[in-house]
Amino acid sequence: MSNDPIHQFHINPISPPIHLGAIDATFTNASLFMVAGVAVASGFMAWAMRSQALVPNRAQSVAEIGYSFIHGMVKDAAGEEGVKRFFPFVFTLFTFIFMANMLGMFPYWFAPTSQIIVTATMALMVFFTVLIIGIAKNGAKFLKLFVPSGVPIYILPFVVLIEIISFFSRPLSHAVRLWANVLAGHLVLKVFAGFVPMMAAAGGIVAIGSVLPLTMTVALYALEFLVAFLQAYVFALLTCIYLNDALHPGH
Amino acid sequence: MALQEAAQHAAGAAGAAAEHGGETGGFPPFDPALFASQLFWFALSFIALYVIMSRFVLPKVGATLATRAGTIEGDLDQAAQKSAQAESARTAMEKAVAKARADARAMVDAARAEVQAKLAAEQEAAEVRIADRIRTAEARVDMAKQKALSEVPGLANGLAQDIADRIAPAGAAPARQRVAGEA
Repeated sequence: MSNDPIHQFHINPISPPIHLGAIDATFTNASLFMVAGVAVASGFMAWAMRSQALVPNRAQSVAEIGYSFIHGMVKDAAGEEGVKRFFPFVFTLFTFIFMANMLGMFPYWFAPTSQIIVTATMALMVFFTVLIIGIAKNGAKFLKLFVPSGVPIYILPFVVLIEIISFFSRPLSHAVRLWANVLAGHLVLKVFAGFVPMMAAAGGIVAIGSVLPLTMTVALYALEFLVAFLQAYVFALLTCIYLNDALHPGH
Repeated sequence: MALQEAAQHAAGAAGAAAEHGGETGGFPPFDPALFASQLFWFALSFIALYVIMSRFVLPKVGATLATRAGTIEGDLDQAAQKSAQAESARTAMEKAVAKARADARAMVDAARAEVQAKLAAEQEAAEVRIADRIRTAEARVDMAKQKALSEVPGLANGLAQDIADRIAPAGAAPARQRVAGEA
């Protein structure tokens, strides 16, 4: 393995090249960990809910807590109607990101969310869902999203301009927030972890000093676990807030 | 990167080396050649996860939670019902006890009044009877007294006659008269 911190983000094919028409569908390490995340999440949920007990065991409690956690989040941000329309979507988003982040925490494994194309696709999915559902449901009233009520008329044009810019920059910030957090976390971890063998190989007092980057790596690892969960949560929460705009465009 | 080289060899000259050129030196997240495969597998896995979650997993979890909520609510309802029943039974019991106590008191009062009335009546009757008997007895005593008194002068006369006869037989009339006058 190279000491290059970028190395961990390289995408390598596992299967021979697969082409479906013009589409390149080669199975890579990125594909493997996306599929693995889906398999682990689905497998766990199905296994945990196998008995549907009235008094849940530990695994079932975890599944139910996950359900209630996302359910409450969607309900708080987007109301009952939001739950009816979007709960499975938000739950899928959260689960997918959470699994991708967590599997990426294993050394030598791959975090699919470290790829901007994946996070951007999810952010654009949310963006277009808001746009399409918002217009389909509210028609012209959807434009009220850009016109906050109670704003004095002489600054209204600027506010509308800012609202429009903020609306259309949402997918960018939404995607980059997740991607940059995962990418930066993995980079920093790799850099600090890389110091350990380098200093140990140098010998003498420097070799003893290698315990410092090791400590730092352990501490950062704990932090990255928090970030892995938190970014999945933030992504899902922002999704709920954006989806609420589709249902209730008036401020 | 033996794995990657092997894959590249397997791909032959199909251009895979360029497409999946992990070692080409660029920053992989910004390499457009890597986008298509990721998008394809992302779409596949995300749709699969969505279908599995929305069709199978989430309804199951939701149903379990709803069943639990329903069971708890039902149990609480039942408990409240039972408690209300117990409460109403307690009030009914208290009412019955109070009624029994009142009945008993009324009964005792009635009995006492009856007994007192009877007692008073009997006393009155007894008094009347006693007064009657006293009156008849007094009457009898009066009568006897009258009779006795009425007999006294005759008796005294007879006695005086007898005495006079014994003291002064036949001729001594003046003495006889004095004695009789003294009686």
